[in-house]
Amino acid sequence: MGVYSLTRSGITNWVKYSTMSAGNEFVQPDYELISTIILDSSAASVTFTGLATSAAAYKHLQLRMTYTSNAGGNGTYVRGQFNGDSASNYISHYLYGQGSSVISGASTPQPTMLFTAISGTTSSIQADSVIADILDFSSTSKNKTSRVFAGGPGYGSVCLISNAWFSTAPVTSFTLMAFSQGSTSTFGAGARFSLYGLKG
Amino acid sequence: MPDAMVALQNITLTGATSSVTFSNIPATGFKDLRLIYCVSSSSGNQDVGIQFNGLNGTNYVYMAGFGTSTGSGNVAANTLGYVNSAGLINYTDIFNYSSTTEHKSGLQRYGASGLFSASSAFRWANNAAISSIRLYLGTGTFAVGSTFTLYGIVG
Repeated sequence: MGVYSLTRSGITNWVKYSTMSAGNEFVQPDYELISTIILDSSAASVTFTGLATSAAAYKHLQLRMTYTSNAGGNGTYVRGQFNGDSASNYISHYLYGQGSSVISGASTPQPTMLFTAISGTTSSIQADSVIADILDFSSTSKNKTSRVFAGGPGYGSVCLISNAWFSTAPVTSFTLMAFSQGSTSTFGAGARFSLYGLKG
Repeated sequence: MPDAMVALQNITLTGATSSVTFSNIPATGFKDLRLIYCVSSSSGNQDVGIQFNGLNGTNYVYMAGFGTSTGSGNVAANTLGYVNSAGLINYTDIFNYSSTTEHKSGLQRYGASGLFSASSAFRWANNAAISSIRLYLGTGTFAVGSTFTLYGIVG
């Protein structure tokens, strides 16, 4: 085998790679789709289950949701629960713009948490949109918090919400429920709920 | 598992221009779009206009913090964001952009340097699938170095 000098050949800044894929390594994505639910027909609620299996892969969850009202001309708003917990273990704080003023408030402990602002009248072709982050969802030592950015442009509202679930249990399921005019309602057909995992 | 958010097009201005257009947006493969732009203006404070498919018809409701006060309003105009010479950063999410059965709705967060921080929800009153997005200034130009990136989000 011949002996040669890289220095004398002019190649001075070289790196030894052990594989032929050098410089083309697979980069692990940070933001992945876990599951999507698209309603074929109206439904009062949707639930993401099996999130315990996502705990090893992801640090945080993100929900993207868009839906049209199925409440006969009245808008639909959304409340949520983790792990089916229906005790009064949730508190929501909100900042809500309704087109003429900005309102801030907080709930007392409730059996659900807010994922949109209270809605008004809208139409079946004017969708509401929501992006929600659920932070450190698999922690066993902290209460769970989430932040929500939601809007109903059809009836003129935009809101920022923070939710607290006073439980240190890891989130293993996530339910979203439709309400209208203070009562249970349904999401319209075509409503989409996409859940993503973020690596940490 | 593939990344759920993919950069579709990126524009960095090497010359000042009054408008930027993302065209040939794919109709399949993604559910939502995210548009991020970081721009400054050559002509002071003014709105950034938006057109989908070259058409008007975007309305929005906003709430904003101005440092010592807050405000909210409904705006029937084709504007998204408010740029000043110091700069604007804007995140805009457009949901179900390729649907042909509903108006297009979305959310945006933006901040104009030294002026305010705002959030808004908007609606384009049109059932057509979005195939192009145009951002423009009514007066003046986006400055050199302004960046615009369009992402597709699977869902």
